[in-house]
Amino acid sequence: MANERMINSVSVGIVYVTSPGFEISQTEKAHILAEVQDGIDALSNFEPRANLSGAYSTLSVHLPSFTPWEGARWPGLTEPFYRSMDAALWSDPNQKIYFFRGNEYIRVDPYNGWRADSGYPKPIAGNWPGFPTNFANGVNAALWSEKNQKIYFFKGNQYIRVDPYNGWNVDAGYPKPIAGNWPGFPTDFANGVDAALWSYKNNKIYFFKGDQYIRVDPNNSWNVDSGYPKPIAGNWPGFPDDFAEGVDAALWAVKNNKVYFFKKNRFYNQYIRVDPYNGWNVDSGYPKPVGLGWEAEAKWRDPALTQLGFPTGGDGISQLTQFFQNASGSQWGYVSFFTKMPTAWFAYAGGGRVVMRRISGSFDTWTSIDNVFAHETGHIFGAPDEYASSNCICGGAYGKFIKRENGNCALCAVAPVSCLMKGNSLTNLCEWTPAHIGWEAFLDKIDGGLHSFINNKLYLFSEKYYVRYSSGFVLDADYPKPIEGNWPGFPANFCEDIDAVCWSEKNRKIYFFKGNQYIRVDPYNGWNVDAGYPKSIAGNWPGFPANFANGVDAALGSKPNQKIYFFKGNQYIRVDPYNGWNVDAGYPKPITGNWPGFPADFANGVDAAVWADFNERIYFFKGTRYLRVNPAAGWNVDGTYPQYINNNWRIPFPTA
Amino acid sequence: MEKNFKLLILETEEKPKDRKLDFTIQRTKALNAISSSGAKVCHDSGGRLIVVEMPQKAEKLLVKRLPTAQIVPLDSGIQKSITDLDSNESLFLEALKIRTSVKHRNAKKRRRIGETPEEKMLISAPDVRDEY
Repeated sequence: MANERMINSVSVGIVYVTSPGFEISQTEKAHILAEVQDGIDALSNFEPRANLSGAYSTLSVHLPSFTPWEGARWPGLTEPFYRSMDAALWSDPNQKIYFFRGNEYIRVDPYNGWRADSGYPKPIAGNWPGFPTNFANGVNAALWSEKNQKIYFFKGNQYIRVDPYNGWNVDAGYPKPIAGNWPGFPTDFANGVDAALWSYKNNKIYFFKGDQYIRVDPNNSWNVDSGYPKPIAGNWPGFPDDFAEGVDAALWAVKNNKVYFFKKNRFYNQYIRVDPYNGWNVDSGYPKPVGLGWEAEAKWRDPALTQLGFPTGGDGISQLTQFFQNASGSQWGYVSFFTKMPTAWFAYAGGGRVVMRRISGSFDTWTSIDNVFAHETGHIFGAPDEYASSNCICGGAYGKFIKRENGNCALCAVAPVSCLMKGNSLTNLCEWTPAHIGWEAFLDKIDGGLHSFINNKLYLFSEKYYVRYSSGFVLDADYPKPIEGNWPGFPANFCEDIDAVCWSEKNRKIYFFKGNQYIRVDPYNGWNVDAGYPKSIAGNWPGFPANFANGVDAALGSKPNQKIYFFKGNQYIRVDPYNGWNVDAGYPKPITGNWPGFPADFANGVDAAVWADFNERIYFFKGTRYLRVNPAAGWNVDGTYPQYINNNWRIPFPTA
Repeated sequence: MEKNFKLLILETEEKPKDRKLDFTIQRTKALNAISSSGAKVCHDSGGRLIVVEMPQKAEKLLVKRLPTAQIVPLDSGIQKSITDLDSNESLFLEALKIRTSVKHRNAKKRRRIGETPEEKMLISAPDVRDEY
């Protein structure tokens, strides 16, 4: 699985994509790399046992030509208008469309491919004669009135009227308050409207405010029709939910007799097209971005991949990642694209890549690349967002190696904390993210190992989790699993950080050890803990030396001689279940000299030991490595051991 | 960065690309030597340059195990002594220079986490795109 755990060496491929007008200087590139390294460093510092390090490869791709926003549905607008707009207007006298945003506007020619006329955007001030200052600073809604051939602009609780046949001047006496001049307007509409449009189909005017609308009949003294306001939802068929919650702008285009509604989402401006002559239904295929949506990335990324000799799209990203990963010999890898060219959002991750864009200015002045990059790297390794606007949910199972709920989701957690995936903080990790990125167990040692003869499975325990293997050392699906909830009757303290576990063939029971206590599990009784447990080791395991009775490091049920071995520090004892469970005479003994071939560090103590019936070998674990002993060959350590647990036990494991 | 970080330079005379397989073997040996000596790779250029967290004992061991490698302080200005830096290595050293600069370190210490416009913007919308 790709990027299963945030451990060991991670290939961080950085591709700077530039084009004329969208250059990234060498200084900026170095700044980006430094910040990326800061971000990875911070992640590494959260969990030193993860042995995380970055292998950084950089490539620069310069596209000789690039037309920003090529393929935009409303061509020729500028990026701010592709993000949002305040008002839209069909102007009948010149058959043009006007979009307003802040103190600027753009004029669009529907008869020229719906393209923006050249020379726009322009400031409202100075180009719309007579506009009061507050209207020149921006308007809320605009309306062409076919009835009197005038244009109306609305701002707050006021409006002005423009006469296009009188030099586009504001008529005398304006602005006026909406209240009192638009009869029948509900109070909240009189306080301001979001959008307005003239309907050529029924010669009515529609005003929109929040999730409601009213209809005005200019041929009935401009009164609001009875029965209004009405909710948009249910009355405008096919409206997407977010449009039914309110629209930003609206217009009737005489060119095709369609109605357009505009509404920004969290990333970009989008629109729907309504056909009044087809039951006022939304045309199929809508909403669409006004400019470009998420496909904006591919407009520059795919040419960049092609220039580097890779396929486009996901295949190219995957192959480029592999290229970087192979070159550095890293265990994991992902690619990050840094650019100034258009994207739907300034930073996001998924599909094995991170995309980060400087919308304006220099990357040098972006001093939180480290934070943002670390957050995105969290996504690459399986961590979900936890902030409210991500629409996170507390349930579910997130993560690739270890799966856990999203317990810090701001929308449902009792006391959510600010951290890497919520608040984007490099100073804190919440309780759940370590699980999501594979840090909650199996980091620096194995706590205990068990071969269960009842089901012919081998178990390895680490902190709160365990994995299970079938014959051939095949890792069973859906592991690791938490101990808690899967081993019935376990006392809370035995649900994490056990010291040792072993199988006893004599009574076909399983023993777990933690500190000076132990519990006994009966696999023939639903794997339940036997009644009366936990018990203290002292007094129940005859002959145990005091230091062993205080706790053991490892336990081993040895099939060849039906004995049980306990290890503590550099010593071990042997118990004979068939002799009253007594410690054999002559024990404890040092590991050194009695377990042939043990390296010094293993002879100084082991973390876990397990008999594997799959191949009739004994495995000893110490830190991130293990060795294999063959009882049939004089209990000697097999050649080429110790080896790293990583990958050899079908799980990724730190190699520090 | 703390004082026990060092820059390990695997070789300084020949570019890796000239002897690709040899260099890959040399890199693997070096990475194993770093690990077995008790040192830790922090940042790897993927080529000749590796930033290593280096306890004193580890440094002595590593010098023995990698006799042809150079181990220098991070701020040694080593660029001048490495011939034929490629663009990736140049950027790696430039980034290292930035990160070891007092200006950069102080700026990182002074900043208030979560308060840049980009950090605020990030948490205003979902940012996971798993279309591939």
